[in-house]
Amino acid sequence: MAESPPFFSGVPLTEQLDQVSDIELASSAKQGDEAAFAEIVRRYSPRVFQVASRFFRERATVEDAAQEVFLQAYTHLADFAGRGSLEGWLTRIATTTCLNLVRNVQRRPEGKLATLSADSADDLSNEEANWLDHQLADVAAARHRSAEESLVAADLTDRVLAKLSPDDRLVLLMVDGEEMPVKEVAETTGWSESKVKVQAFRARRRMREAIETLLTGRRKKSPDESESKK
Amino acid sequence: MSDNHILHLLDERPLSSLTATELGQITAHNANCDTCSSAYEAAQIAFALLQERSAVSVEPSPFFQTRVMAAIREKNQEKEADGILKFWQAAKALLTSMAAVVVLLTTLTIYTANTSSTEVSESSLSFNSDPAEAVIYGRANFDEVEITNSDALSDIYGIDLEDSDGK
Ligand SMILES: [Zn+2]
Repeated sequence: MAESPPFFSGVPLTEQLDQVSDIELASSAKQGDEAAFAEIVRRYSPRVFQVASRFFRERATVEDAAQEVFLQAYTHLADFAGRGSLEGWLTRIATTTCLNLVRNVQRRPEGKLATLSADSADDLSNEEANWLDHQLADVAAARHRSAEESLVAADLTDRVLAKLSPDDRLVLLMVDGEEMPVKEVAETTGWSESKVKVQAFRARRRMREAIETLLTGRRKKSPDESESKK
Repeated sequence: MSDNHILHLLDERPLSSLTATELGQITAHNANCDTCSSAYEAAQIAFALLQERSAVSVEPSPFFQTRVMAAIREKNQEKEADGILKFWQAAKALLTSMAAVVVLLTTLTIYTANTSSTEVSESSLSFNSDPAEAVIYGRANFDEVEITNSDALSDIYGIDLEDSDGK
């Protein structure tokens, strides 16, 4: 007699788990089905990593944050009613969890990121200064940079953003960086749409002013620097 | 005039969403305003930086799923161990209180038994050493002396029977 294959929530395990719907996976995971939750992790890891990458740059930190997100999701599975998408639910948990992690890190004095003292451009590395010069020379060329230049830009962004609050950083990266619609940002953060708009307005102004100060300092410093380079 | 500056246009929405009319407005204004001109330059750099930063994303490693599932199992085991610990703590408290009650009851039982046996032996002792007669007659070694009927009556009634008989 042929043995019947093991079943997973009515679906034979021999069938690919990726054929199972999100709702069915969530409902099985709620009943303690580990295989179902493992499939959720596999399916949505890229999304959760993307969200965590808004807040952190180091691979180890992003992985730790992503793991925390899935642990939170596992603990609160019962709260997922299935009215919205599982991806949306996980994105919300990821955003809230990462925001809390950043706030906790910021509360600790050793957790403060290295920030630029925007009063002068002395803190800029050579690469960052070159990037800014290149940017000033041709703003339109911004989209055609090498991967290395992009990393320099990302580093510089993190240092500028480190001067802003976690909420400012989040809203800027979502609205301006990823060009997400205000409605979607509101759903993800749990803020009202008007709060998103006001937060983005203020954050944009703060970032613009920080860059302006940096540029002014850079221009004052430039003549000496070009002399010393010779 | 500050009212005519274009700063609000820079802060209101992402730069990429500005319309051609708005961009024309900015260019026209900036030709004669240094403040807005440098603000626009900074806004463009800020926008480019944010776009660059958003493009940088860490990809999950192939072991990430295994790592998360191991963490979940560990968490579940911790929860189980915690449950067992709590059960044992409750059981220990119950057993301790039960043991305390047993010890208390045993002590009370032994104490009560000792107290009553002491009373019995004490009364028997007093009966032996101080019989009622000894008290009445004020004689310690009653057994050694035999009391006659007349002795008893004279002690009780205060009458010297021998004398009265003699009279
Ligand atoms: Zn102006």
